[in-house]
Amino acid sequence: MKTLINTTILAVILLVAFTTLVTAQDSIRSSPSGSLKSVITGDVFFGYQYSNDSKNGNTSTFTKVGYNPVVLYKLSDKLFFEGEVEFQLGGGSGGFAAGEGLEVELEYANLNFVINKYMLLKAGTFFSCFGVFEDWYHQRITNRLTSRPLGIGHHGIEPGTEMGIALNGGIPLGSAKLHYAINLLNGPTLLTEDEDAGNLEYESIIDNNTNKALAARIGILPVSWLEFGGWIGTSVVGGAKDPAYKNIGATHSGAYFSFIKDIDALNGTVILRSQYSNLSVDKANYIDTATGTSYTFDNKSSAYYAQLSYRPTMGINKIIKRLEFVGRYGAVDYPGGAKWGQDASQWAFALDYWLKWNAVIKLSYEQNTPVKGTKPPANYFVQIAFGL
Amino acid sequence: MKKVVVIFFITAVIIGCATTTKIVDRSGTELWGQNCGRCHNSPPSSTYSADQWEVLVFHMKTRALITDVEAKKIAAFLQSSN
Repeated sequence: MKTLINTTILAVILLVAFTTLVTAQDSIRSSPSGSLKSVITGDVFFGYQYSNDSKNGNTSTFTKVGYNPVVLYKLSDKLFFEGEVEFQLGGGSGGFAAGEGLEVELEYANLNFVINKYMLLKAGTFFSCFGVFEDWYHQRITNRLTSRPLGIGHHGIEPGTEMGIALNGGIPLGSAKLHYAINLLNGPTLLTEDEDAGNLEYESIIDNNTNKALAARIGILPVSWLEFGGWIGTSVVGGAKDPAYKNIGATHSGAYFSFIKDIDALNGTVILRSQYSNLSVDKANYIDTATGTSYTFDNKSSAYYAQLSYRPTMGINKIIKRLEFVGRYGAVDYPGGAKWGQDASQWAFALDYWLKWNAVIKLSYEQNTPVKGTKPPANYFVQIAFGL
Repeated sequence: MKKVVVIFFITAVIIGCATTTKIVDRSGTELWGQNCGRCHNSPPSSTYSADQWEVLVFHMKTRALITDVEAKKIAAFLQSSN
């Protein structure tokens, strides 16, 4: 009862703060003429989830209210700040973190310094160069579905935002272009006990050793509608003060592909996205606390997804033009012998209706299929999202 | 697998070479259409003010890693037509 009252009070405070901020947008949004210019953007979303589970009880709940303001400051032509705070209320599933009560997180905050036309120095917390889904596609108006792909993103086998420094840039190469990112990060932390032994924890605020994770990503666009790239990163993940694990390292790697094109023959826009992520952690011995015995396993994980969407943008009918049909298949493979992670595959489909370029209603269906164990019921979601 | 990657890369380079207009020679309108829909739907130029576009396009340099020449031309296009 007390938790319910506290949660309700917090929700009311959040609603009042949100309403105040929205109505004050005009005075906050752009500064008067001068060198310092700022914008408040971000997204808000709200959802409903239903699943028909005769065994464990049906789920029918409004869920996952989120308000994620992004603040951007341009101090000069060479200095820039960007930051995002996430306020989320309610439990969740389908790839997003489940939780109760209000979750507040500093998603990222970083300072940017333009070194030259092809190089920018970034410092703080930022989306790491492991993969592209978390950096570019996880926001509610860029993600055409209502969840992350299995194993992809910061609740999967790779980091999301990390703390450190980075060098980024885009380079035109005739009619093609290349972009790159080099990261120096605190890096992930190896968990060594109980059910999480062998798993990695990300978003380290304090590095557990003096080693820094080094990673790099390259993306190539030979034409504007085609993009592919890959990344690799290594780090020592064991704690420096732990003799058994201080030399344990990890290597993240992967590749991605993106195709976006208006196709006259189909009267619309086709988007194809895919990503493959791989994680390899050095073998180590862990102690089974229940039996006191030592065990080890081949600590390799992988995840991938492919997503296809079609929007009839060239159609005549005003309502049909706003629809987007989305399908995604993905899978995650965790190490055999680990006490965490469940290998599974997932089919997900969505029908999106775009009220505006930055406002969408999504109806989605997801079905997870574990490699072992009972297949859970399918989940149905409705999500409304606005980009601010 | 390695053969597939090599073939794909060579094909991509050939496609890239076949396209005639260099990035530095494209107009702001073209670059806006080619870049802004990569992740999200392209916002109309009337959505934001000139000052806001300046900030938002800079943000796209840091996040989407668009090139400097693309950022300048896209910003100029959006500011002139909002």
